Amino acid sequence: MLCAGCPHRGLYYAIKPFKPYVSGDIGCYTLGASAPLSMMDACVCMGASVSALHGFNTARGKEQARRSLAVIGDSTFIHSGITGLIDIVYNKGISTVVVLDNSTTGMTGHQNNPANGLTIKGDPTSAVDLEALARAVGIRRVRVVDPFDVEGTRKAIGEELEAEEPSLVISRRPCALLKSVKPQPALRVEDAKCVGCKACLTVGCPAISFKDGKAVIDSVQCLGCGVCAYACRTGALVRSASEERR
Amino acid sequence: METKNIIIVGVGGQGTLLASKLMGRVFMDEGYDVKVSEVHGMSQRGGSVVTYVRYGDSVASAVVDKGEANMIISFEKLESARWLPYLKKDGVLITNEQEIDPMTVIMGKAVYPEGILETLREMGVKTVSVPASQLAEEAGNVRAANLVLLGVASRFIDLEPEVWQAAIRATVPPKTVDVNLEAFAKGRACTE
Repeated sequence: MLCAGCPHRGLYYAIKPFKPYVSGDIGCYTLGASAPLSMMDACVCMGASVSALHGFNTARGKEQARRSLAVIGDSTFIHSGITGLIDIVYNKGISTVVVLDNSTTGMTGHQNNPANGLTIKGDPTSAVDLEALARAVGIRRVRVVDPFDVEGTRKAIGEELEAEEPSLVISRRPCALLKSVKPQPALRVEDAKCVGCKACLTVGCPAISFKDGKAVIDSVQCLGCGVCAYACRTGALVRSASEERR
Repeated sequence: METKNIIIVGVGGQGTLLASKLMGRVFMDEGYDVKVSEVHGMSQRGGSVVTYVRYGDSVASAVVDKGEANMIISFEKLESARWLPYLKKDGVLITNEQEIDPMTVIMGKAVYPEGILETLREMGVKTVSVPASQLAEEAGNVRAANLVLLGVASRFIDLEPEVWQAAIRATVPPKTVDVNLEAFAKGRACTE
């Protein structure tokens, strides 16, 4: 499962209502394949999310392209996602590719990569400008979204799925485990408002459990990303701004 | 001496990696050949994690086979059952009494097994269970449960507490040294 506070959770939760075919890739975000998010249909090898999506969309046409997208992390995109993107533009595809830019290479242990401005030893270096790179290969629809803004992300991706030209959406938010990322105050459950519907459990967060008919948030694990609050239908998950973090 | 095998298991985010790093340092300081191996990545937070610590005169492989662990330190009750097949017949199992529901349990697709500790004892497994998270909270930080468990483990390893304390000072973040020393002391003082 994805970590508490993981930016990928917001992205997956944002695209869930589209019931898309998700062409996946190799990285932490591959964990989005497991329930309850279940937001990945294929995962073959690094870079395959983009090239395979192009193949699917070419074979099955516009209607399928409207209901499918590729997800690929920033470092995997640099490794071999960009080549597929060039093919999409060159071959007049209309696919939507989402780069999950968390400013690191999460799953293998936080190595820096050419897109985050630090060498493998941590020294400052030039960073690949993903937006400029996408435009340079001919993508005209390039957008940047914040995955913790679930509604904004959902709206933007909805528009790109509809667009009949290739799009690159950059879902940008650093990995929650980076030392430079400061956690927000934990959310808490207002018991009076919680009706026990378990909607918050559909975001698949390890900080949320269910006890005695109500949702429970572990304030030690919760990093305050707020994605679960989008899932709650009764406004029972609230940010406890006054409460100091332990 | 014969190589000793320790397995540290838990749920991602509980501090198992720091615990294994600290143990590795203790044994290195004592002049042993040490191998520490960690399985992580799929489980930075929330999943099952395992690390192996092996020490002796000469250690070649870093991996512990089934039935070969002299000691298992489990940070979560269910994980102690999951990794039980790795314990030697006369090995000791140290476990935190904390329960963390796996996602399948949270989603209502499975039920958290009841009576794990009772079953272990009925099976004749030498089991030491401690409320490590609670003791860590008493020491000043619930995240120091890893040091409580190391404190318990230290009772079964023939080394002076000073050796552990020096390794704690050298390994944990400077601001947390006092809390961690206190947590370790609480674990070491724990007698069942």
